[in-house]
Amino acid sequence: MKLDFFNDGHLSNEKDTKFFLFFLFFILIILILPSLLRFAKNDQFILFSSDSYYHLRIGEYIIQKGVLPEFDWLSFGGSVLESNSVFEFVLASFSSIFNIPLLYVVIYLPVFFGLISFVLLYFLFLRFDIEKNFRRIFLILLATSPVFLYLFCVSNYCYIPIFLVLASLNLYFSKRRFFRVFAFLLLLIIPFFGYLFVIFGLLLFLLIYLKTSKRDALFFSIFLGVILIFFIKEILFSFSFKNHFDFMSYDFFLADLGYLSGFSLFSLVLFVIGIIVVFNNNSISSKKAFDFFLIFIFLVLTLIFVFLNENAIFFLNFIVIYYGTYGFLYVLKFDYGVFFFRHITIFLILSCVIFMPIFYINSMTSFYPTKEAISALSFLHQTENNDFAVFSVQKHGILINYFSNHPNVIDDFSYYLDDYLQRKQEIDTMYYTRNITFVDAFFKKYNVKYVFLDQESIKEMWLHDNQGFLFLLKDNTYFEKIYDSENVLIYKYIHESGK
Amino acid sequence: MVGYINNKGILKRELFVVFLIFLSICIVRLFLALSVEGFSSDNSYYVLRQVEHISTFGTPIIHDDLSYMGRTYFVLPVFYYVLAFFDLFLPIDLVCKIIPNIVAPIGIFIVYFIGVEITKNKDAALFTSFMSGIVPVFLSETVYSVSVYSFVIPLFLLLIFCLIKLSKLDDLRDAKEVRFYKILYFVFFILLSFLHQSVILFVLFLWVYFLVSFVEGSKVTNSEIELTLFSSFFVIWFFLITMKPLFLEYGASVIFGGVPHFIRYYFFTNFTLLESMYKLGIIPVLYGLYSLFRFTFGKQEKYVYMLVSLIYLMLVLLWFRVISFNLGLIFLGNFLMIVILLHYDFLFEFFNFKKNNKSFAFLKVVFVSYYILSFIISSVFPSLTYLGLEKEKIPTTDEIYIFQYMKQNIPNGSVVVAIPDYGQKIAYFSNKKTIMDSYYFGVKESSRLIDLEKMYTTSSLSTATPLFDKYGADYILISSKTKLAYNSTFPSYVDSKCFDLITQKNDVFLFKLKCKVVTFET
Repeated sequence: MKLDFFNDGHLSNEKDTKFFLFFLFFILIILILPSLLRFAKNDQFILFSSDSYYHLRIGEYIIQKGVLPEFDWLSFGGSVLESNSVFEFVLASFSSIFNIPLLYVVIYLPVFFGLISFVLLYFLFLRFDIEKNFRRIFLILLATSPVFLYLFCVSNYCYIPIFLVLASLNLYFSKRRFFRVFAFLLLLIIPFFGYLFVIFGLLLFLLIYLKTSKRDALFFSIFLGVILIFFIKEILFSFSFKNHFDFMSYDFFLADLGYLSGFSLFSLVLFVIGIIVVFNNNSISSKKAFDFFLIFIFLVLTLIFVFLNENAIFFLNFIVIYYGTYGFLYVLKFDYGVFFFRHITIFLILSCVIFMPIFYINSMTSFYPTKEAISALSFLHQTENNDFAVFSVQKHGILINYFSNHPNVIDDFSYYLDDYLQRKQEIDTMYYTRNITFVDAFFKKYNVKYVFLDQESIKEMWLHDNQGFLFLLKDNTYFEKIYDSENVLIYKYIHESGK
Repeated sequence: MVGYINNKGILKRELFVVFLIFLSICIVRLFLALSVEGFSSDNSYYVLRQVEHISTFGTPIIHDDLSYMGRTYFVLPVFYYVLAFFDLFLPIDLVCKIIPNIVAPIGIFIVYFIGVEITKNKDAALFTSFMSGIVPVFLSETVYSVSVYSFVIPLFLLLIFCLIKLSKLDDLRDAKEVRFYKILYFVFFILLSFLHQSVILFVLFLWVYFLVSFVEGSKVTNSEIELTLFSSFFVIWFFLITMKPLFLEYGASVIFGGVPHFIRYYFFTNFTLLESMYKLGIIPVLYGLYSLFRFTFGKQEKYVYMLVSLIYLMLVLLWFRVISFNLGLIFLGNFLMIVILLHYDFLFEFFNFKKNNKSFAFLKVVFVSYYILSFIISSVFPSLTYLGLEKEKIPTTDEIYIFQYMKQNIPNGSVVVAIPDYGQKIAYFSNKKTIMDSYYFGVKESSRLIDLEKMYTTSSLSTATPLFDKYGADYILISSKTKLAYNSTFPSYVDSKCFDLITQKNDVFLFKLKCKVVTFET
């Protein structure tokens, strides 16, 4: 099938090996750079998100015990694990098989899969006879997009299933039947990573069926549809718990405005231009149907992103970049009336392509967690009794587990637990109460001995430093400050009811 | 300009009338501005400080030790440099009164040119340009204040004029003229980008216009696409490269003045139609809404879609309190003038059509008188009212006396507790630090707002003194304006032994804190 929007008549499966190899090297540099810069800034390897430390902790458990954990002894003060730890199992396997420390696996495995995914994507383009200019610009825009950088630099559940989907597609379009069977086998692994990838695989193979009318594509999508039925309960559960967008906060999906794995505004503008250009173009009706279905996929993924799972942004990015490439080519080839408008506009676009990843990589060096938070929690690790829980804001929960080896009261992975809502409500009351009796009862119930706060959380949660619980923290009869750096505070609870 | 000069090389009658209107508005503005000493808004004193700094050191103030007890500004410097240039010839006070009040009414010319371009009806264009010089909210915000919007609004209108011109020209037949207006657009757009971040509003307007054109099935020209592409990418590049740290820290609120949401909901009043009518003028609002309704539906000329897009964009931004009420009304007021031009065009065409009919000639006189009278009642009187209210905000001689006293008698580095409206004034007159002022761009700490309110509303010494200690403040300024700001009586704790009355001038008081808060370190 040809995507002939800008076809200038040449054979479009022309290989450009030099560009490919050079770009592969460029991708390697761009994916390794964030971790190296972060290391240089902090004098130690600090992972890019607190979730990474969760993967690390469970991975270490698997290596030590040789089994997948069913119970997390630290999260939520101790809880049954909902997830099946397949991702952590993969990490542990890589570490054991290749004898690489788990920390390095967590840091560099995404990079490795990013490179392979890039290669698979390139070969897919060759298979689909994508025109050379389109191919090159797509890959450049993709590699410099913040979403791509986040996906393959930060430890997350998504990069392996995305690799599996790309591998499956490549094998599916092979001429040998054996490879198509192998493609199906790869699809069998995808459901272990979550319903999101099942949905994406289903939509993708439906798209292939629409374009090629191949019956086995329909079979693949029906198979994935059947698998999806088993996830309905989880989907409904996610829907009830997802924090819906605050549309008035403005920065909810733009990396330029601070969203960690967001789009760049530049690529969104190109995306809009590309959509307009493609749908205004008088092309053959089957391509129009292809584009309509792709937009349908985009809308479905957007709904999933808004209402179910923020990881859908990784798939949305491919579609954004796809139409963004059309927009980019349109801007390049547009008939400008005044010559300097052309030069300036192209200069501006190229500047954005160059500077966006530079700024994003620079901002990655300052991602949470900070060195100070880690130092403070490591200090807490040295306290006498690790059974006592640490009270903090939700986002610190996983970090508390890993560095202090203390249980937390709540963290980002607790939402599936039965008493999550009740506990969340109690915690929200705790933040703003000045009632020491309530605090006594709460701390006794959850076996809390320590309080961990940083300045950023204080500014986010409270309006001023005497509000609610912060007021009680200043009282020496209830709390003793045992750690105080510029930005991080740890208090020990010394008041007991009746004394 | 070709077409506006007759065979004898003299400006045509209509343009001469526009010039007279411009001159009259200018004279009225200058008379009002020069009849008072000082400026009404606190931000004017921020501008004065910037201009003074440029005149002295050649660069604007980036890090300010006085505002919020120390902060960094993001500065788009064109406005300050223009004023600083004129400071070479005139005293700074005069420059800041004269230049903005001469530049702001330039919009009258532009509205006239737009009117002629759209309707070819010089009478309607004349009448509308006259009305555009008397938008109550624009007058009240720019006569007694040094406001960047004196420059922004005329530039905005110039860009719209260029767009309207380009939408009517044929790329091939009128190539030279197309080139000329594109270059003009380029120059004005770059200027606006370096002047104020409301250039982003202009780019948003372009996209809304495209959307409206698409919905209405109207074809956009190559020139419009070219300018939109250039504008969009320039703004992305300019703001995301130069303002990147600000965007990362403060999010999208940077675009609309950088006012954080907790201040927005505290100070930005809700958009209400009634108050809009007073601030814009009842006639412009009613006729503008009528014209908007009439021209929203059905096939229209491209310039109608442009105007409709502008108005709708402003209404949406106002409704969601993305921009402040007064700022939104300043834009809305000027754009509505162009919209109601379409209404007047119809009216004047009707009268011209019937001009040979004697009874219609009489009716024409009646209607024109009615429009002039209703305009005077609905725009001129509210303008005078709002100007009167603004005049009251100008620092009184009592306040200036206290500010001067502070400069001479209070040690450098002292922190003064004062309402935000006094912040930059104290920095300008007294060179002293304040907790908060009205330049809210990039403010992160919501606690200051609450603390300040507490300091002025509490009667408890034990509540107030820790707050003084928190900010290292030693002085508090109290006046009738502070009581008005917080709707409170005189804070009674200042009568205690912990405070000394340093000086007083009628109803303006300056107190000094004597007691220190003792804290026990853990």
